[in-house]
Amino acid sequence: MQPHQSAAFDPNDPHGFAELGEHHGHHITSARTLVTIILVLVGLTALTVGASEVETYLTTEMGWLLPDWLNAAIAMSIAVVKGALVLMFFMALKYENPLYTIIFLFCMFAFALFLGLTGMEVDNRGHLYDWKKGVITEGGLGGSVMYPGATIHDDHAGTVTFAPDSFSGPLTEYLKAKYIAETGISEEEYHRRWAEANHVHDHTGVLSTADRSLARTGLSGALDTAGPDTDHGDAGHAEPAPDQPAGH
Amino acid sequence: MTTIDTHSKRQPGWKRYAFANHFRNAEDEFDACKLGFWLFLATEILLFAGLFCAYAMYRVKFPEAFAAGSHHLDIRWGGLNTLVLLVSSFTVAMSIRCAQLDNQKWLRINLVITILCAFMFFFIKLTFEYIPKWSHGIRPGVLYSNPFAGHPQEPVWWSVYYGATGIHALHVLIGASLLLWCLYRSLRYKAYGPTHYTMLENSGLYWHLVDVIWIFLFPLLYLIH
Amino acid sequence: MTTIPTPHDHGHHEGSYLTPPKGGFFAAVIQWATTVDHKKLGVMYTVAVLSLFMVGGLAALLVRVELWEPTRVVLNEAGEAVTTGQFFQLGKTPAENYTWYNRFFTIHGAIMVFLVIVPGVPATLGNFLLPLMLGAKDVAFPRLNLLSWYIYCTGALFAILSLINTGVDTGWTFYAPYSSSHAANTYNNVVLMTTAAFILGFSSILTGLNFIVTIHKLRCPGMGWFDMPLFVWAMYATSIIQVLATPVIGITLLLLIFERIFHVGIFDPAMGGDPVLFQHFFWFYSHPVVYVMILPGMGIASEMIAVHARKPIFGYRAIAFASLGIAGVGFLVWGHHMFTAMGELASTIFSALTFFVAIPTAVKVFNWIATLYKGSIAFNTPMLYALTFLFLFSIGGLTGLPLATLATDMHLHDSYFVVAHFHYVMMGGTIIAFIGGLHHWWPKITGKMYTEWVGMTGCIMVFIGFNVTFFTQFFLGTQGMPRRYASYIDEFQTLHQISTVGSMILGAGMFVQLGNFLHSIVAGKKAPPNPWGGLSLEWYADSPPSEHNFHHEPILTHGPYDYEDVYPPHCDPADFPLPEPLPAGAKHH
Repeated sequence: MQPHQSAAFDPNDPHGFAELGEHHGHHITSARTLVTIILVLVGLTALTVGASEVETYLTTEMGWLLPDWLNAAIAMSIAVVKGALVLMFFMALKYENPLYTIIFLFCMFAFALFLGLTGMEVDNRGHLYDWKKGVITEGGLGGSVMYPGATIHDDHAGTVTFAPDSFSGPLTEYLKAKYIAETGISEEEYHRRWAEANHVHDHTGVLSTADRSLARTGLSGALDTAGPDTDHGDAGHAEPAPDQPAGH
Repeated sequence: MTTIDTHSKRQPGWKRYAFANHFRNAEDEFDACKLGFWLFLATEILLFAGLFCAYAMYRVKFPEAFAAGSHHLDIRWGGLNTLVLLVSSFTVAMSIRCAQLDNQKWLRINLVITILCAFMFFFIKLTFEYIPKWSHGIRPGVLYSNPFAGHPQEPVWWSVYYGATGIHALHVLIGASLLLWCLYRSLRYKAYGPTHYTMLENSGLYWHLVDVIWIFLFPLLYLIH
Repeated sequence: MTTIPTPHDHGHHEGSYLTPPKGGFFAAVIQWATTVDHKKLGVMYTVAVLSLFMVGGLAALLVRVELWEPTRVVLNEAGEAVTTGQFFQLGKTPAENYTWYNRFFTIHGAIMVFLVIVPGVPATLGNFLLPLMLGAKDVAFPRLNLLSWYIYCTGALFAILSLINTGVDTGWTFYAPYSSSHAANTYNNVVLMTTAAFILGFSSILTGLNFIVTIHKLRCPGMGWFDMPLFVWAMYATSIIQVLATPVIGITLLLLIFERIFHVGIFDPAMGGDPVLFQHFFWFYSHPVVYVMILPGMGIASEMIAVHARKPIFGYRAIAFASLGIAGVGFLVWGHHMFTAMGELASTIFSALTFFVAIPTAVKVFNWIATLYKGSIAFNTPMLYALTFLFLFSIGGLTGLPLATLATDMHLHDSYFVVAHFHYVMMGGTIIAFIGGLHHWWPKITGKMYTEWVGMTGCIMVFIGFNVTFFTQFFLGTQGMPRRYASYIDEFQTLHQISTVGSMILGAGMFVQLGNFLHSIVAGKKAPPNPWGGLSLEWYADSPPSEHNFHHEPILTHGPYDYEDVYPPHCDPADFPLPEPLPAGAKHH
């Protein structure tokens, strides 16, 4: 029994996709395009790293005060261009069924809503009621979290004693107190080592701020000798050589 | 829906491929698989959205902590890893092109380069970034044990760093496994050719997505002060 | 309906999908455990979901029993102070007994949300019906469908493990820092339960992805987008939410697990985190997922109302687009769960956005009522459920408005008003529609008829029990009874007791329905292919459908609701007469 269908109706293509041009075979991207794109991507990577280095140079060496959003804006703009190139050419969104692009855009829309509305809320919290600001405590309250091996009690009056209760306060404060108690160094010596570990070579004790970036070189060599080995947990092992310069 | 008819060994795998019988034709099946995979990629992007959101919120609240933490990252290793992923993304696109043109030899060579790049990325990440930091006590959350924190909030930065790069590295491993599987099937069956390369195409898409996410993670973690 | 043989047809008549294989019981178990047939998977999901529904429901009844009287400290004859009025006597002290109350309402919430209502309709009726309604042989990725089923089972296993291991007392929302601090829960059940929810998310994503591709690619010849039944449109909108929102709960729960184990400090204020950020993460998924719960229910209601009122659905496109509209607006309103905690500007914006949900929802309700108007209504069990759905869901939706209003929400937040509101939507909406849908498609799924008068009795019992239980809770909430408390002041006791009595009627009604279903499987009459005179494609298949759904690939020649133009298939035309032709020049309606 053969159907008496109108000539335009194709049972294998009931929705007429062929006429709309939805099925146009697989697109084969030319090698020249792919090579061009990878070269552009490598170039953009160099550019974004270069821009960041230049910004660091300008703020640290030249002492310019650049707006804090500039660095982020440049880096993210280049990242968006790079991402778009990969999506359009390597992932072939430019040549494929627009449905895939629509899916991607919907996904980006959800992403933007999530980021945008959450960011707006976190940014505006506590404008009317001050207590709402206190939800985030810088460094944390400690309290309900038991720090590993926490037996140090700091009475915040210069005395550090060992006590079997948990340390309440930021983890970083606890680590500092523990380090000073274990190595027996002075506050000044701690600060010197701290500056070395954090690349603050001029010993002003200032790290990068939103407006001023310092040069970066990755992990500080100072940490090689200064970092306490908590896996073994013996204090003497972590004793640093005070005169050793940063290892790079 | 990869079903290989193993009865006739003379033909390469991609010619012997028979599509699942609830589709009308192989073209429909290919489109369906690709549509499904794009939806899956959307879920992957939104999985990372949570980490990007956590990053953004704490960076706005505590820029100093993020700058202090970011200073312990080495831009050279991050940059090298970016290049490694970009090259691998290029080679996987080339291997798909080779499949479309039935160039079996270069399909495999490109796949091998891609997989090598994947493991190189993972090796660099592990050897030059994770292990030195971890041994210095620069760890996420309460495991953080470096006494010289630049900012009280720095452990949170490391949580975000390890969370984002860790889940990304997991995706690198998954992508490499998918591509290894493709390589095996290509060597064993000549499974991919002009009329059938669904698995290779989708693995390639996954790999590109891993690349795209790193393209954003790199400046966010390494470059922004 | 024209059917033509196509090259892919098998050309022979196969047996029903329920026909057991040769080789006895063991072969049948293997066949069901490894099946990629969407119908068998749908049936397995239904059994699992209904079983877990029973567990969750019993937990709810126990919670209601605890609330029969408040905890009082009285002096006994010896002059010692003793605590009375605690039903959960599982702990050593009254405080531990309270923890057991917390665990039981968490069991109820977590099971009902993650294991029952979210996968409830899509994985059960959706799996069974979607390919049938589209005229397809299966979903686009049958093996992926099987994988989702096993992922669901794994998730359920983790959830049950955490319950056996004394359970979670955080409430189903796992709010940090309560869920992430040591003090809150002595055991690591939170990790088990969040892992369960994380795994179940994957199942949900894969099901949604599968449905979207199926709807795009496997519509039968002749079926355009606006020829699809509205249930399919509802499933489409549901699937979009599942794909776009679920990954965010995935990363949220992963971070919560990290928070619990490593104290990463993203959510926990003890480590410098922001607990309200957790609520953002959580509700970015969990509010859209409220529409994952209700949209399929709305789809079922559209089908039941159109079929049993025997009238073309009023405003087909309006209902279809309202589904998509709800899915879209659903992504904009999650902040209304945190009005008391979050920033004032954000609260105002979220409050305004929340009101927009009412628009597409009201469009649907009015269209259903317009469909009923002057229809030839068959007053049977599915129709009774559809009317129950309309009534309860409308109350649930309208009581959402005072909660979306900032000023009133400050008073009603976290009170029994909220509890009553979301039970009217989730239970009165989704579960009622689900059970109604089970009755509606029961003949198609099992090939057996259920007993009509028992079905109607059960529905009436559920309706009465439900309203007695939850309408009183609106009063409790407005009078200031907070949710999640094991005890209360004496003034609330009467209302609490009314509510508890209602919950028992509700539970009894549920068991009446269960008995009806079981009786139907054992001794039900054989069902005809099209007992209700439906027009969508599932009614063209056999009851129960054959292995590959249709004997030939169907070609669609009429819309799913053309009741005024087309005789329903497999029916005596005398039973379902077409309307009298209208006199020339007369306008319809």
